[in-house]
Amino acid sequence: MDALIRSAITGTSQEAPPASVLPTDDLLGSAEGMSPERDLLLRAGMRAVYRVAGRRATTGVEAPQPAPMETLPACSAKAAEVVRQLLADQRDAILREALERLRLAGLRLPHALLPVALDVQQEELRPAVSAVLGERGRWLAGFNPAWAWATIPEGGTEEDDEAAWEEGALPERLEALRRVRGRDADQGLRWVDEAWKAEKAEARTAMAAALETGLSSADEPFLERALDDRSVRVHEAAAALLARIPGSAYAARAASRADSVRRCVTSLPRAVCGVWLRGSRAGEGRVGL
Amino acid sequence: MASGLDALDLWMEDLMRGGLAAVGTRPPSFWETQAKRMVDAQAPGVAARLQRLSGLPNSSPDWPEKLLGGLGRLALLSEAFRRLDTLDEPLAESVRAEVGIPLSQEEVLERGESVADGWIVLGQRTVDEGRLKIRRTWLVGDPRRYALILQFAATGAPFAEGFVSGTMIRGELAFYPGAYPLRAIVRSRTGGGARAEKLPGHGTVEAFLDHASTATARQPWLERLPAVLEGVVPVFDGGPDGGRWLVRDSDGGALPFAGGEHWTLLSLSGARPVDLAAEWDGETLLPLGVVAGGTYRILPGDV
Repeated sequence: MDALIRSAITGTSQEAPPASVLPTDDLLGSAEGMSPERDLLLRAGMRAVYRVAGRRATTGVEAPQPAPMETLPACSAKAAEVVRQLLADQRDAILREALERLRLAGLRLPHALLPVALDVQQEELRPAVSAVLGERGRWLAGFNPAWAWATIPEGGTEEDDEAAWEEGALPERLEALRRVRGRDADQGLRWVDEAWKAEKAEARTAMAAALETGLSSADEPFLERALDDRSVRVHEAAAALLARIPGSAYAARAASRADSVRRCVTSLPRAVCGVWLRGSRAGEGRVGL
Repeated sequence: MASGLDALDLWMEDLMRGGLAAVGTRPPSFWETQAKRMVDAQAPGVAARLQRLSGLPNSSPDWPEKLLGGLGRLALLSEAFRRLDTLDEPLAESVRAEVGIPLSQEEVLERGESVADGWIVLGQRTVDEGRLKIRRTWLVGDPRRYALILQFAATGAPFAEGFVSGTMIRGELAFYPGAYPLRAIVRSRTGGGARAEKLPGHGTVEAFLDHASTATARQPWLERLPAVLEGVVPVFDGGPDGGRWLVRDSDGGALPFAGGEHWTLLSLSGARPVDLAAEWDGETLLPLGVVAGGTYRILPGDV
């Protein structure tokens, strides 16, 4: 702190303003007839202007490593806006499906949306977000400790996941499974496939549902087999995922069923009428009900 | 008005006698009363400066120095106003404008310099001041002629004229006369709407600072200038204290950003060169918009 500021802080009644030391002081000319306070103010004002005008660039700032080039195209601005809104409203179920669809379509989030996406607080959504961050998202996450979950896993983590899968309780196993599915979906499917027969229905249901992360047509044969599971809940979990794989046989079957229902419904009035008439004629009143 | 400025000078000299340390403990009314007096004395520009200074005490470790600088510039303004007739006409116009003597739109259209060009809308910043909101819109023409459009509207009401950041408007601006004409009004619009794929500005930080230095030398009471930096890289220098945000040119010269986080900017650039538009207050940059990959985007000022 220099003498001019010290005098201003303590007050000129305590400490007289110092004699001229700055080049700008000469601009003031003679301070005759001017109070020491006015003199101090004007000198301080000139110095402030002098400082602003004489401002130099900050040096010694390292250029950061540029982000790797993207390998995937960004989704449309419209899709990005939908995701932004879902993130803001915390519509988790729809958001997860939207993110999955982006991933299945081979798309990533646009760069402007990445900070908001990385701020997602719900842990169960993170694998789905992670899959659409692109190169830029993983690069950006490296700057903020709060986003460490989205950075490329360090060496050792894969082994940790494998250990958790082999030895952990069900929640840890599912977490590890989701992480692996986010990194390498085929590896995750192999884990589930190998463990499948030995697991109880509750675990089979949860594992089938966890395949949602990283879902693709590569999972279709396994999920088709899971449809025949003796547990209804496993069947339902598998069916829910199959319906979301574009072009899956299950989706096609469901579509054709829906189509036949639609055809049936379109021609319903006459058909129902006929059935009813036939039924009543034959004395089968139930049909009419 | 002159008597109002005399009273201001006495008030500031009292501050100096008592010392700035004592000012740090004053209630807001201490500043508000003085600002109101300046409004009554037909010096709203001075009142606005006092209001800005009132936020300084205890706001940063070096607040006494900042406050002293601000009061000093205010003292220079009252000094200049007293010697108006000895100043060049453009500087005298600036001094009158800084004190707050209004100029009607008709006068600006009549006396101000008119410049026809394609103007790129660099960005906007809206400040809410209670019942009133003020919007600053920054424009740049070719070659590097900057303009500031100030708009006022009641809170909740729209601004009368629209500007879309990142697009070009064609037309003629009339500049308020002054030593460094920056504020302008739109005299006529003939078209526009094309999107800007790059922003014309300075290639290095030092070149921009030279420009800012010239502007400050011509008009020492300038509060802010637009900064347009071409091909610069935003940098986040992480650290235990929350890190610092800067923008760096290809020569290694850098300038700090205003407080807050600038993740969107960092994400858009990916540490690759972008064109940046910002407000420069003499110390830090407040981002307005960025052109990355040929596309303009508005930046949130304070995230």
